[in-house]
Amino acid sequence: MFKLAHQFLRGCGWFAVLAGGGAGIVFSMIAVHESGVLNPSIGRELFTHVLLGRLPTLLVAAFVLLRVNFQLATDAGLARRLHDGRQTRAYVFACAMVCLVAWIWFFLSALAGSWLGMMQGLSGYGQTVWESYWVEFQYSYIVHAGFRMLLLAACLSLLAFVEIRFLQAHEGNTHLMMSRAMTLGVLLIIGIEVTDFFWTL
Amino acid sequence: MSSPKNTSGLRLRWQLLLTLVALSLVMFYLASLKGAWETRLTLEFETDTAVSLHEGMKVNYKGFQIGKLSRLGLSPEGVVNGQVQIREAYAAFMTEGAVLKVTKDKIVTAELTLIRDESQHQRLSEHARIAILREDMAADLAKRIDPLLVKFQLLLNQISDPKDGIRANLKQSHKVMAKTVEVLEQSTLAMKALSDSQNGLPAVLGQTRDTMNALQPTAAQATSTLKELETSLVQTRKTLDTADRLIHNMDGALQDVQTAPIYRWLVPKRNPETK
Repeated sequence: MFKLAHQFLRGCGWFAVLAGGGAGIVFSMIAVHESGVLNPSIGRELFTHVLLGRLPTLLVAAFVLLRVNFQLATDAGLARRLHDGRQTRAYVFACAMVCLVAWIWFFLSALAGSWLGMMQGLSGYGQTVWESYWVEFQYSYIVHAGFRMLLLAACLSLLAFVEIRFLQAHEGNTHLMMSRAMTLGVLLIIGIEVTDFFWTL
Repeated sequence: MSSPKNTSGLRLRWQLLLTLVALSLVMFYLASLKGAWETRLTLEFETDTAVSLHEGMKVNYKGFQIGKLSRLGLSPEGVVNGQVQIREAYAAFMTEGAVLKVTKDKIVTAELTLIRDESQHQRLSEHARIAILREDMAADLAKRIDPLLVKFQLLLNQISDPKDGIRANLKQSHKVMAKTVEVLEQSTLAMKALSDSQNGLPAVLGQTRDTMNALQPTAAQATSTLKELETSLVQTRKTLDTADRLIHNMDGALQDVQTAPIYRWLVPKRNPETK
C-alpha cells in the first residue's frame, strides 16, 4: 500500500516543493519591487487567497491527476495488478494521501519562498514586511483550503476507483481510459474550484 | 535485511511525520505572530442594538488593530451585551473615560474605534465596562459635508474678490477686447489700402510683371552677346598663346644669333674693364 503512495509522492513532492517555492519567490519579488507595480492591499489579498489559497489546491490536484494517470498508462505491471483487483485499495488510498501531503508541501514551500523573496527584495529587511502579511490573515482561510483539498482528494480517489473498474471491464484500453480520466478529472477540479469560489462570495 | 516494500513504507512514514511536524511548527509560529498565546484584556459592554456589530469585528486605535469583538449576545431582558478583547501590548491604551465608537469608514464593513480621554491615565481593569458610542447618520453626514462647505465658501470668496475675483478679471478682459477691436480696425484699413486696384499691391505687382516682361528680350540679347564675347575671348586666348610661343621662339633665335661666331666676330663682347 505504502510503496505506491511513496512512488506517487516522489514526483508530486518535487513538483509541490519547486512550484510552491517558485510561486512564493516570484510573488514576493513582485510585491516588494521598488516600482510599486503591486498595490500593497491587493498584494495581501493575493497572498492570502491565491498564493496560499487557490493556487496550491488547483496545481497539486491537477499534477496528481496527471502523475497518477501517467503511472497507470506506462506501468504495465500496475495495470495488470489493478485489473486483477490486487492493488485497488492501495491505488485509491495513494491518490488521496499524495494530494494532501503534496498540498502541505506546496503550502510550506510557498511560505518559505515568499519569505526568501522578501528578504532578497528588501536586502535582508523583509521580515517585518513578511509579518505584516499575516495581520489580516485568518486561520479559517487555511482550514477552508484544507477542506477543499480534502474534497479534491476524495473526488480524485473516487475517479481513480471508477478508472480501475473501467480497466477491469476493458483490459488493455489504458490509453483510452487515461484520456477519459484526464478530461473528467480536469472538469472535476475546475468545477470544485469554481463552485467554491462562488460559494465563498 | 529489509525488503524494498518495507523501506518505502518506512520512508513514507518518516515523510509524513516530518511533514506534520513542519506544518505544526509553522502553524505555531504564525499563531504566536498573531498573538494567540498572549494574555488579553477583556472588557464588557452593553448597547441598545447589535446593528453594525459582529463577532470578530476589529477594534482599532489610530489605524492599528488592537483587539477584536469576541462575544455578542442578547440577554433574556432584551439587552445586547458583548465582550471585546484587547491585545496585551495595547492594553495600556484602555484607560478610564475611553469609549468604543462604531465607525463606518469603509463602504461595507464597520469597525470599533477607540476614543480615549487623554486627561485620564487610570487603566481599565479586567472585565470593566466600556461604552459603545454610535454616531447618528445626520451628524456623520454633516461631519463629512462640513469640509466641503468650507472649501466651497473659500471658492466663493475668491470669486468675489475685487482685485483677483471674476469681476476684476472680466473688466480686464473687456479692456483687452476693446484694444483688440481697435487693432483689428486698423488692420482692416491697412488691408483695404493694400488691396486698392489703382495704387495698391495688385497694381504694383502688375507693373513689376510688365517690367519683367519688357526686360526679358534685353536679357536674352545680353545672354547671346555674352556668349559671343566668350567665343572671342577663347580665340583671343589662343592668339595670345601663339604670340607667346612666337616670342619664345624669337628669343631663342636671337640668343642663337648672339652666340654665333660670325656675330661675335662682328660684334665682340664688351670688356668689363671699359665700363
